[in-house]
Amino acid sequence: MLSRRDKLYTGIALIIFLGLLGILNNTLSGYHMRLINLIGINIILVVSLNLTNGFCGVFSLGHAGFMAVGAYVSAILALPLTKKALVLPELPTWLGSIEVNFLLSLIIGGLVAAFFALLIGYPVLRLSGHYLAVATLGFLIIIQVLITQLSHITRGARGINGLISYTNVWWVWGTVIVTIYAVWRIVNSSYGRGMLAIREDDLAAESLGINLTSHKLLAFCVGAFFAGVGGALWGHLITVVNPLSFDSNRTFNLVVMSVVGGMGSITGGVIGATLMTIVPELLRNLEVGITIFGMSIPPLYGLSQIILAGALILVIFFRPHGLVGNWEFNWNFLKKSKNISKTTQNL
Amino acid sequence: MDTVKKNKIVLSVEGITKKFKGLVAVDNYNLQLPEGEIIGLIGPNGAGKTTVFNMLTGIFPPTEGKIMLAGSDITGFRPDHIVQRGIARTFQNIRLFSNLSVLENVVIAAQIRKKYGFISTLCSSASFTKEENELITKAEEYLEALGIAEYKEQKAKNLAYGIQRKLEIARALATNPLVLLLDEPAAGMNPQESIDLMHTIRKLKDEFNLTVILIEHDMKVVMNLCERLQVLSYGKILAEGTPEEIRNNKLVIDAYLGRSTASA
Ligand SMILES: Nc1ncnc2c1ncn2[C@@H]1O[C@H](COP(=O)(O)OP(=O)(O)OP(=O)(O)O)[C@@H](O)[C@H]1O
Ligand SMILES: [Mg+2]
Repeated sequence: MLSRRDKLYTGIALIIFLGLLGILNNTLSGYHMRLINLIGINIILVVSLNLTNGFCGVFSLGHAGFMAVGAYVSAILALPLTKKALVLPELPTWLGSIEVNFLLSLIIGGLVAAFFALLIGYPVLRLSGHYLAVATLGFLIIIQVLITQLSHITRGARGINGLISYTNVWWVWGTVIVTIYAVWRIVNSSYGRGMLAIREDDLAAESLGINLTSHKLLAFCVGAFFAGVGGALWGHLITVVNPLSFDSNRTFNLVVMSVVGGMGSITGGVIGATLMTIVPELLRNLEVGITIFGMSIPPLYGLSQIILAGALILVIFFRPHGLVGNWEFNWNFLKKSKNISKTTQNL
Repeated sequence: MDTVKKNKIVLSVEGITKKFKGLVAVDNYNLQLPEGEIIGLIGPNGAGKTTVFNMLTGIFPPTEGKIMLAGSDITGFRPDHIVQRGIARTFQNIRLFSNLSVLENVVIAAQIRKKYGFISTLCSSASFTKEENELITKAEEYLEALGIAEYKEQKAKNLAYGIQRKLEIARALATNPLVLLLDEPAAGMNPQESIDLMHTIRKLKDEFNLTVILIEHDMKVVMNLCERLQVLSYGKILAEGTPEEIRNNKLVIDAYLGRSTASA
């Protein structure tokens, strides 16, 4: 629970941060703003993944599948009617004749993703460890196949393009705040403690009255909800959704972000997502090739991948629990001087 | 034997049996446990003592037989349901939530009776805050009852072995049980720690109105604490009676006590 002081600090920090975003939004190029939005979307995805994989210990590889569900649902719902008639003429009439606003399409996208999580959760969450990981990967593949096959709704492998670029810095970072807040509330409640207990020792947890299925399902569904919302934001950022965008590669990228930052921490999720979005982008510049003093260094294709993989191995080797481990950000560093003076008074 | 008549039976076990493939780990185990009694379950390694606990707590259902707690049939119930109805336990090989703090370990057990819902959690409602504070206060009381409150901020895995055992007891107590099952609580403790533990268990029993089943190899602890003993050997109840009767039972001396008194 936050003290009044912590609330004040958090409020001030938020205002400063949002102000900064506003300034950047008006000064930075489109490319840079897009990068900032991608960071935000990845934070949404990784923090929600951490709730499932890190806090509850349910190691899911299905996150990209839930993203896909959210992205497609939101894309179809929010597409303007005139475009819908052109792009998706084969839609069932009830779907073809509705257009919902962006906010509602995000929420419905998240809810449908959570509903999928509920459906597959019952059978899959009985499994543990590797079996669960493989089963969730199976779910991801099924989703891709479904999207490809249900072409009257999804346009199959071609994907749906021409989405309106609703996603902007406020939608993204507003959702980031909501995601972090929700996960933080859950983690610091009986629900979150139950999840931690399951991660630590499920048999002991159950023997102390924790319902394994309901806690795992909660973690899985909340994770899927925000994955769905993140996917929907992403679709409306790049204005295209197609099945290839939500493949196992994307899941693995998210898992890498989560592991690098620290799976069992919200802060870890934020740091992992931020770093692993920015660094590859910086490294990509290496691949174009440069000319220095007439000497031309040829483009080194694949170099960024190698550097990234190397960095990953180093992180795992030296910080097996991620950069921050289970640590969470707090304001104690501002209070330290006060505490010391208090203790000396007591002496 | 007067207590048996005075107090009502809180746990009644009728002929539970557990078979693992070919092996009969527990064969026709019976127990009538009056409220407020401490009963000892002893026997050689592999006799089936822990298996009895596992059946009573729902870790696995008995192959045959019936378990009645406070008059209702709980045979085949899931572990979380059984502990909600009032049987809590500790584990022979400590199973703490090792990366969580001592306090969190106990709060997790105490939250078995929390009432707030998911929406209250998300909006951090007044009832949420109030209940959370109560949970923490309650958990701290249990830590104090076991004399380990000073460690509350530490990670469970960093505690000394004896403290970990006590934390497991505090955690089980925090579920507010009718019946507490202790699986070798003194294992790995030195003689002084065992004696302290003995006093603690007696104190807790009175303070929290507990009925206790105690598995223990340390005969000093068992003989001192228990009003009645059951001896298990190869899954069967070999003998049952007061510590005095058990000590003088020829069968028991041959099967179990002979060796352990010799080694003690
Ligand atoms: N899950 C299981 N699967 C198969 N066999 C088991 C299982 N649990 C226990 N057993 C077997 O059942 C028998 C009784 O084991 P149990 O652990 O109940 O003995 P115990 O009396 O608690 O012994 P100890 O004093 O060593 O703790 C042993 O032969 C054991 O190998
Ligand atoms: Mg045992």
